[in-house]
Amino acid sequence: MAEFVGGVGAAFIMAAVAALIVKFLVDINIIKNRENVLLYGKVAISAIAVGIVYISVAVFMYNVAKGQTNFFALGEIFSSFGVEKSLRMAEEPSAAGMFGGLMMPLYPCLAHIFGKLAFDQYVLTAQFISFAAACVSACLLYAWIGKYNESPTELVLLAASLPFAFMLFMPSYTSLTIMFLAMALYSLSRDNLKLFVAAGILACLTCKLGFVAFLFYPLKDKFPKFIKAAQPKNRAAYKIILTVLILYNGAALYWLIRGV
Amino acid sequence: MKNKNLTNGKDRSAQIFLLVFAAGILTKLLIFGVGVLFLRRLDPDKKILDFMAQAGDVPHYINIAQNGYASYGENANKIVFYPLFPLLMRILATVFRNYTVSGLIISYAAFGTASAYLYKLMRIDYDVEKSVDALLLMFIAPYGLFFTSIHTESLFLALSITTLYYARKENWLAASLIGYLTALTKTQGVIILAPVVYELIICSIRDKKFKKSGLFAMFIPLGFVTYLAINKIVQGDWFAFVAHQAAAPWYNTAKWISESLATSYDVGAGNFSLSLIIYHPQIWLFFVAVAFLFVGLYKNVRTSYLVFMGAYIMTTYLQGWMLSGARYITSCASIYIVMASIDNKIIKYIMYLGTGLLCICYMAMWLQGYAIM
Repeated sequence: MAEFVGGVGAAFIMAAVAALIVKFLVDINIIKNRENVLLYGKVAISAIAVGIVYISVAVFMYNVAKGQTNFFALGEIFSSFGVEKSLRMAEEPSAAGMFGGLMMPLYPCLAHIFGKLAFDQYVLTAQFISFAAACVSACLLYAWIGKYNESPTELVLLAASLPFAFMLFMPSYTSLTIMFLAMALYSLSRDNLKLFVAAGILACLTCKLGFVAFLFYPLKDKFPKFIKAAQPKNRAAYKIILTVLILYNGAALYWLIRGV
Repeated sequence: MKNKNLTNGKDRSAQIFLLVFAAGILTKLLIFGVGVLFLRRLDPDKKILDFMAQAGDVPHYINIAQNGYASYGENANKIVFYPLFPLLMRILATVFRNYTVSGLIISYAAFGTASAYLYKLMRIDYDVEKSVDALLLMFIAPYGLFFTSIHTESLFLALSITTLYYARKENWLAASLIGYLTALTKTQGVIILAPVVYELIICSIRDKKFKKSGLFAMFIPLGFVTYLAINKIVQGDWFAFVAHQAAAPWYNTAKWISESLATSYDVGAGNFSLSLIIYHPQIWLFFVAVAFLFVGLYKNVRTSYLVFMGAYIMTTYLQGWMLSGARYITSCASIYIVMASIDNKIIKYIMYLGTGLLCICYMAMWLQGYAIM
């Protein structure tokens, strides 16, 4: 319980710091529209809520599978998702690990730097980076889809329910990669080539498949058609697809946890 | 006619300043008096001044005021206490010939000053009603008993509020000089640099040019450097205080916030009576303070006050073994500004009720000798 209180407290104050940074950007007119801040604030909070649901269900499934009642079994669960390499690299990033083929350097370096600032709390920092990246991904996706669709919420929720979406909220490089891919899509929709190139490079530095970001460029004229095609035809179809995806995620989550 | 109006305006401003100054001191005397009445019924023989001189860290401040910092020996660890408060006690003791009385005069005068400047600060953005709300909520803060005792809380409150006021008035020299003194009062003092720099940035962007007088803000961290220099001169190590803090009786090292809160929870779980007056209040106040930070963002409270609040909370709770978290949080002026900004009458009434009841409760318990730190 003590660690839970501590973890929640740290998350609370870090969220406050993030909110103050956004307020600073509004005060100096980098973010010009206060209504947009409130809108995207809601999107970010929704992403956090989705992450909390995924993690809570994962903990519940783990306890059921193990026949125990340890509500703070996250460390054990992380190993079942193969994120221990990320956490090991965050604690001790090494050239052999990064350039010898284990993983690309950006995520472990960020987690290491922030982990050091947080008095060697690497797991907590890695988790925080994942949640922060998931929030930013949600906002970027919302903005991208919103360019071509008047009601982007439904498609963003579908994206949050895609198979293995729960990996976004685990301490690994997945959410950071998705964030840069989403940034690439967003920048193409705003015709911001500099941001697109930066996002692509950062995606490549985060994941070996990050080069996929550059493949978005020849497809940018097809975004409106793609988003229109992705929109379910009616509410019933939307809810059926959403339900199927959620059930698939549930099964995948349980399958992974059972494997511990 | 115009000059007469200006003179009348200044006279009125001075009158209000003095009125609020006096009101702050009188309110604290009244609350303290109620606590003493409780004490007289339970322990008629207890000598109040002797108790005040022995409570908590007071003997350390008196020791430093009398003897200065020690290079070695059993008093060497007193260097963990910042110098401004004991220095003022020493200066005043040349007149009053008593360190306890001097310490009390400084605390009460500082609280009066804090009250007057908080009112002036509030009136920049808010009407009279909200300004009075902030004052009253500060007067009846649950751990406000430390504003009436020989601790640095009143002095820090006065200096930090005054720094914020002059930063808002864009008087960078005054803000920086008073900020320098704030940094000499306690560990969190140097944090006052954050809101001053924030206001400087906002002003520079508004006017599209950097305010050269803003460079005075560099004085503020010099307060902390002065304290480090004292460590070096007295004990030969710039960071001698770190080693002393980590040793007995404090065992205090910097730890991440989650660990600090977890330690408080764990220690409190092992000692029910202390958990009620030390460990759980400091955990609860952390969450309440951060919640108020979000309320402040929602109510569009001046961002520099919220920056100060966020930095102050983080600095306070980075202490690994904390006994006085609740006391430290009470000294953050931004909390009262945010509380006053709330419009909902029921929430406001509940705040008044909760803080007022706890204020009397903690004052009475402290005077009876409970370990309220």
